Amino acid sequence: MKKRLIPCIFLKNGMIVRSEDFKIHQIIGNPINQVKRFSDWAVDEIIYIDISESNKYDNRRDDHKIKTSNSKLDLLSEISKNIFVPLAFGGGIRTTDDIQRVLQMGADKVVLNSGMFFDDLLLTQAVEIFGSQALVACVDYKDNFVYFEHGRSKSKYTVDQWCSILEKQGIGEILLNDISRDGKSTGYDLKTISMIVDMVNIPVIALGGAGDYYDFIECFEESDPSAVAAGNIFHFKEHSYYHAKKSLEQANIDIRKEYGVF
Amino acid sequence: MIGLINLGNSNIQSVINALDCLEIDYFVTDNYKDLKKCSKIILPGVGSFSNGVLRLKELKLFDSLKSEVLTKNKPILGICLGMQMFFDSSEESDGIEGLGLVSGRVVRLPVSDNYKIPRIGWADSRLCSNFLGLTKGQLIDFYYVHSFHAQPNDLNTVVIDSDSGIVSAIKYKNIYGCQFHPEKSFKSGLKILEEFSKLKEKR
Repeated sequence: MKKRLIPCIFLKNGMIVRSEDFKIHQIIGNPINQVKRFSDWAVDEIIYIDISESNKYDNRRDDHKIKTSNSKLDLLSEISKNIFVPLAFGGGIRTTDDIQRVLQMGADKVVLNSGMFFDDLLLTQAVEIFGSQALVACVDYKDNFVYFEHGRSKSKYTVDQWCSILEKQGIGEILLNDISRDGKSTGYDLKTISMIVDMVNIPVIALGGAGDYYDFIECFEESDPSAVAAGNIFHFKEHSYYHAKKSLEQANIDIRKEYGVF
Repeated sequence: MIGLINLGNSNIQSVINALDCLEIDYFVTDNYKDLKKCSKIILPGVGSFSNGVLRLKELKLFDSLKSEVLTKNKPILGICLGMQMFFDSSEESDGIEGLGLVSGRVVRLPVSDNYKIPRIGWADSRLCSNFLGLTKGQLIDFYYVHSFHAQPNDLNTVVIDSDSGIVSAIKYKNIYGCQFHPEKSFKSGLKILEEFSKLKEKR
């Protein structure tokens, strides 16, 4: 399997935001154009997480010539029309019906997080109905403890305890997100990533802290996850996905070498 | 016109999006009576082998698919579980009979250092023969999500393989199957769907 490089898009009330500390959310732009751009760039996969707290959607800004989408799912459906690479969707998934709807709207995988804390059976039931391959767990952690509800609620589990439970219950992949590195450009949390990669037998996706392309190389070389994901870096640097892939290629990381148009 | 089979649990939206983008004519159906109207069939599928087969039987598609494909020689493209169901049986679901369109069985992926299971992601895939617009010898990255793979009895039916031995695509007469997801494999994947749509029905 090729190592994957995954742009992660955070949406709040219908707009893409830059995230820092899980608290600051600076509006960057309209998701439909951006996701289309990612697809044109031949990205390996896209993770799209809706962090809206309410159902208020505002993408009617007149500087974007696109249709108005009023809800998360409408937006997902609109976005998925132009994506011919895998698309994972997360945010507010609480029930197996939610999962069903998200898959019907064109997502290929569903990202679970807080929902698994609210309902102990959610993951087991979801695995039974949709299969492990459709399910990604986002594990938000800080100081070795797992948090949920946008990082506000501390769970009783350490990262390794929680990942081990998720694996036993049949999750397909783990998206490991270091809250304290969110938006900080300090590089990935190599220690925790290595620990989980060594512990579980399912793919691990590292998230949180990428500041430059070297951080991706370092993460693959030191911690060997199946994929690295990043948000902000792909929004602010020109042709960043292409250049990131080229850097990985030069560092002899075994990646998919397909480059799109831009 | 392509009949795109909707088994309910599978994510057919991605396939729909790809066909729309390619401007290919199709209709979505879960009604066995509709099969007579289409000239080609696409059978996508995710989830377990037993669930898939059960759905085919509940919808009375099981026998009608067999007759459309074997008697009327309509081209069929199976994707992921859709392809696996072409075979006689699967280790995933003991005692459940598949469609038996292609002789062989579906087995658990061997343990390997090259991937984890489920095997998720892009893998170099080797064209052992020409296949739907792609040329023998080409090495292409396709997107996979699976824990099982097919083992046809006749190895000549294998047209694409990856990771030294994983069966990635098969072709047997009018039967085409991809273990990977062409609808999620960017340009080369879309090419496969486009070429399939152009196939002429054999009389």
